[in-house]
Amino acid sequence: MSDKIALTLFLIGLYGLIAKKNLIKKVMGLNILTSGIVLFFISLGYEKGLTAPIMEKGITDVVDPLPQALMLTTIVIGVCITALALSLIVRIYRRYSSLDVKILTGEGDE
Amino acid sequence: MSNFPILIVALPLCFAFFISLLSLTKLNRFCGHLALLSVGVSFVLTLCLGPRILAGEKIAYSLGNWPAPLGINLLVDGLSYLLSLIFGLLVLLSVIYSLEDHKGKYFSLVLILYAGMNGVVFTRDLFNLYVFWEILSISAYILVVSPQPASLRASLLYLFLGSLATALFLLGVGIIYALAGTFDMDALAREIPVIWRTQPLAILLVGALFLVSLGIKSGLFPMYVWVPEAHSLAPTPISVLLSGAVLKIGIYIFIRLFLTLFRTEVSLEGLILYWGLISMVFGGCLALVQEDLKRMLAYSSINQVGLILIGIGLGTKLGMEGSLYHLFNHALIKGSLFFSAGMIIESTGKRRIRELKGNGIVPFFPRFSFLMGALAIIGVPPLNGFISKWLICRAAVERGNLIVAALILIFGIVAAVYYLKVVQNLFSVAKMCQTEKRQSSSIPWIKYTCLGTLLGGSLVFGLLPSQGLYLIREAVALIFP
Repeated sequence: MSDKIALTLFLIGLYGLIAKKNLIKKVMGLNILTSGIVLFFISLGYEKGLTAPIMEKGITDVVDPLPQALMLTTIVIGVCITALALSLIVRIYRRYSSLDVKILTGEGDE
Repeated sequence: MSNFPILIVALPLCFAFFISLLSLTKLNRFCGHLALLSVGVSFVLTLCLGPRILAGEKIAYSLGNWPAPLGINLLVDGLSYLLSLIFGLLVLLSVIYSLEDHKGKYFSLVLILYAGMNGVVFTRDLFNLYVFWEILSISAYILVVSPQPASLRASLLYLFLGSLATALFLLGVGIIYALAGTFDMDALAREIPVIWRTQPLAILLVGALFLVSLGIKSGLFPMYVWVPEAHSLAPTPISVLLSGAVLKIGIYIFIRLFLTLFRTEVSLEGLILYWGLISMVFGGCLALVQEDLKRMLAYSSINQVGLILIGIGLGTKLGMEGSLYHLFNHALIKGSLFFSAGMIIESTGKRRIRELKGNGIVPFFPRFSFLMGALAIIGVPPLNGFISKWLICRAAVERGNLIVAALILIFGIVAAVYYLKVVQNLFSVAKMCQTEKRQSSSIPWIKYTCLGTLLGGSLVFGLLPSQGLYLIREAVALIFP
């Protein structure tokens, strides 16, 4: 189930990144796409009925902790990318007074 | 010596941190020198590994002393060493070139870029590779921003496409983890053929995701749009790094993943060959009609990356030799071309090829080095571009692929057309010279040394091709033992 949700999120994000005309909406699309991938990884490690991987005596059935640990890294990277993209968009807006995607192809430049 | 790999990666990272602190104090004019020191030390450490690598040894280091399947391993083999050598040289020269013009945080970003590049080529862990790739990409997105306002949109375009590429790569890595349960490349090399027998479609999906992501990152035909924007609007040293090093990362990951890891029955050779061919034709044709000097160089990069892919796609040992040698040569030649284009633009203030005509104020040396670089990339004999192009052509003929060989030769001529057009404009007689006052700011000698090193390199590796082929022998032996 969760991997289907992950795939849906990924596709929604991809649609947003490709089809939206507004630059901020494109950044949102990128974020949704990344969260789809994060959810996909998390669902890899999860299994129903298993406990947290704290290695004490008597605990045998644990979930795979690796994907969760890795996804922390991915989330941090996602934040970096979002911050960078938004700061670029702020400076682009100051110069061109527009958030339209046409800016990216260089129309009305120079 | 076994901890050299981690030192090469970690030193620039530590120095990047210190430099960003230093840039806040009054001593911020020394940031560049500190960066130069750290890149220099890392590069010397890379060179120290040389004799052992070229003797066929592999130097491994386990992070935190955790053994292979659990921990992250760094491994320097022939291929990683070749790439690390190119990156070290280009980053060193770029830092030297930018000592005068830039200050502060710029250098810490260049160091992070350098650490990321070395990390990508050394690591044996797929997720770690993704992380280093993101580190280098994010610093590259920021570095593209130059005082020119249009560079902001180039940076944002690069950011959107680059993040999409790394996201697709991450999805592929996730699917591999779901199938094989490990990120370690050595374990994957054993697991993938087993999984291929039961779930070929999943492996194909992963392969497609990786190919699209690498295609975006190395600027291949349909996904090239960020290349001309970012290359032409970035500051000169960053253009050199983007074209010489960052584009090569995609090719490195392609060789590493598809040719040394995922050896399945499906042969990618045809796809790669024709993809490279289309990129070469497309890049060459578009370079012909460019008016902006640096934009033309960027399209020429697409053309050359296509040529490198053709060599890989031929699937023979000779083709691979030619490709890896061309990868090395292209870094040297494009470095010198972008440096001299940067100097020409700096001293005339003009970027359009037409406007360069009859400009007496361009100093002689950048003009001369542009001519040499152009001759090298066209493939004129005493220079290094000739050797690698010849190897790829010969490999194509040996495979019986005469059309490919003919196309490579034809696009050598096309390259001659668009490069010599610029050279002609640069060397045309200066009529306006008397009326226009010599307003050119004199270029510091230290920038000439960067250019001289790269030019000397292309001359040496053209005259003594055996030295260059000795460098890549171990890398080729990895793929064709």
